Amino acid sequence: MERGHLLNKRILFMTGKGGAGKTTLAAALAVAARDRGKRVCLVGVGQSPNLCFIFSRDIPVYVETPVEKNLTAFTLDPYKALEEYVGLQLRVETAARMILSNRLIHYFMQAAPGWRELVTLGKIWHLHQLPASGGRALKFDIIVVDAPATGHGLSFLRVPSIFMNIIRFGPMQSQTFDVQSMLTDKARTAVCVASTLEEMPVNEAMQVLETVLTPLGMGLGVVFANSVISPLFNGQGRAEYETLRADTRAMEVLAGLFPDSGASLFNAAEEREKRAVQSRDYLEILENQKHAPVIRIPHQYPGRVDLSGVKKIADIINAALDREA
Amino acid sequence: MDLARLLKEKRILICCGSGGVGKTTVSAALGLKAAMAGRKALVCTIDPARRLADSLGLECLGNSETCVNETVQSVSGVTLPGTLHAMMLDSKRTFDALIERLASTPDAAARILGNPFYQNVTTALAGSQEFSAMEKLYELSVKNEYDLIILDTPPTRHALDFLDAPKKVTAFLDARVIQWFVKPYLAAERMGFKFFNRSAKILFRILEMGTGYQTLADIADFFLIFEGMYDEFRLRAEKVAALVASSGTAFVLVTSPEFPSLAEARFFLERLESEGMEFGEILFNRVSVTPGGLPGERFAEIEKEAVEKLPEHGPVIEALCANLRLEILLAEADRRAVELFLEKTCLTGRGVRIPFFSQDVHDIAGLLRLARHLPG
Repeated sequence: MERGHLLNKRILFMTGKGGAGKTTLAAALAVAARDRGKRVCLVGVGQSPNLCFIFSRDIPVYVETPVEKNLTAFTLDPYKALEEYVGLQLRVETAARMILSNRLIHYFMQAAPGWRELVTLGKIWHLHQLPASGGRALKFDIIVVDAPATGHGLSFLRVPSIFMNIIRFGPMQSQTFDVQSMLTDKARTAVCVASTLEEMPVNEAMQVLETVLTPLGMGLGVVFANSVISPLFNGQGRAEYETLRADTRAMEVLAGLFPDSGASLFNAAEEREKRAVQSRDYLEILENQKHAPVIRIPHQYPGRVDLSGVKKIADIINAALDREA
Repeated sequence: MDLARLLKEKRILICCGSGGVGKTTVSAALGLKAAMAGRKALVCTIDPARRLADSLGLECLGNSETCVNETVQSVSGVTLPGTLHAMMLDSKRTFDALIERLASTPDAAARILGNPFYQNVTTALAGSQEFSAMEKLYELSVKNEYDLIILDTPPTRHALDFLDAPKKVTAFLDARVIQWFVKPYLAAERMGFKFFNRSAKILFRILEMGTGYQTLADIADFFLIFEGMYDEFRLRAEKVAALVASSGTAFVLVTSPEFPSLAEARFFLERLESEGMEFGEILFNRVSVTPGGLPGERFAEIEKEAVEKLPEHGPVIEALCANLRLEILLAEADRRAVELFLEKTCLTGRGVRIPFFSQDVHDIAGLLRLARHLPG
């Protein structure tokens, strides 16, 4: 991690392969920062049913929605962001709406490349420097972005530099420059990566780490090893388990008691062991890389992770960050 | 139609689903299954993470098809009665090849391929990967070398993006856009005309203020060269759309039993229906399943008795029981989620449940195990 505590940064992007638990971890990071006394804005790129589930409420598009004390959720929509941006440039919102509602322009914008990412990042830039009402202080100390899945997530972060090549001069060029400076300022911004402990997500996470550092030139935060499966037995317990298995009389007693002769009991234990081994092996790969520290998040089973689960993960994150410091 | 029949009778299967559900792995297993049944199958994937390449143990799959029968044979000793080919789509190269094919002259093609705007947008254009995938699908289907083509769709945030992509791309390149915006803009710039479309005028004023004239000139130039190709381009897109909607093609939906993925799958089913496209089958990947012969309601009682009879093993037995209970809970949650989904989508009795294997599927052995688990 570069210069200073992760939660003292201004902007954190949470990325990772689909299904790696990005949204849950982004929410947990936001809660963790809040618990350290920060005013936090949690930004979802596009509507997220999962975020609504976690906070058990609707998070309307493009409305700063307080969901917890000092925690605001914001659903970013590129069309709304464009409308706001054009409105600010023209200083007339109705004109902006008129232009953007033109059918052909709308048609065209649906496929036009890059602008969504650019205005999305522009809005994040805007949020990060919003002043608090009345005072000079900032409205939000930290912005946590639940970014699109990798593949999409990385091209998302690459867009400002592409636009710097396309746009030769004018105010849009300097605005793009501001966004790009925000992204590559390692003191201000960091990318966090979520990965479950399986082949593909870990491969993608490793690739993301490389890409963030070199072509993107951005700073790394932490890697979340999500859903770590712990072994059923450790050390002493393992020995006791072996003793049971070797105890013929005890095994016969169990076989007599369980309708399936105890098969499911022992199958489940072996299954768990296999998963724990796999989990450990991939954890090792993540922990052997030198780019960013790893925070382990134990498997939160069973069922969906709700707000209380998110708070539990936030505590795990804060404890890990304290250890790191 | 059930999966066995789809694999036997269809010419094209399109695998869709949200990211991270194991689409690529399932696509590869479907291809393997078809080859095991004697068909000549091709799996086409579009994926920067090269997941299929990993799955098939290939270091590098190019934009062309590679036969993997020998790899399967050498790794697992299994001789496939049919054939399995695999390829990884290179989106940019497919797009470039299409431009070369449709351009009226080699010079026009070269001018488009060399245009800075084209170079920057082809990879970034919303839907360009999906568009290339469909274009490649059409090309392969016309070549008519395979009994069955399985298309693994790009990893989009939303499964639905795939259906919208071709329309988006053609809309972007729409001739009317050129007619209404770009030409008047250039004409007005060159000859000092005032043009009439008020929205366009304001839009261009903002764009020019914001980006400078040269940027807009590059963009305008791109559209002008493209104009001559547009009709061909749209015709092509229409043929692709017709192929996707034809009776030889069906969609296979892949989902995990988790909520976000199921919600996505539901939207997708609705869209398929409203677009009049054929839904083939839904595959629930990585479903936890309960082992048979469970202790059932008497579990607590049995556990208590076991601990009483074997006090020296008490803690171990309790840990084993807690672990089994957890597994039952997980399996029960998955079972209910899948059933509720099928009920809500009027598909009760349908669907293929692929169990959660204790080890990742990322090699031939894993794919074979997965393929053997599929019905048919």
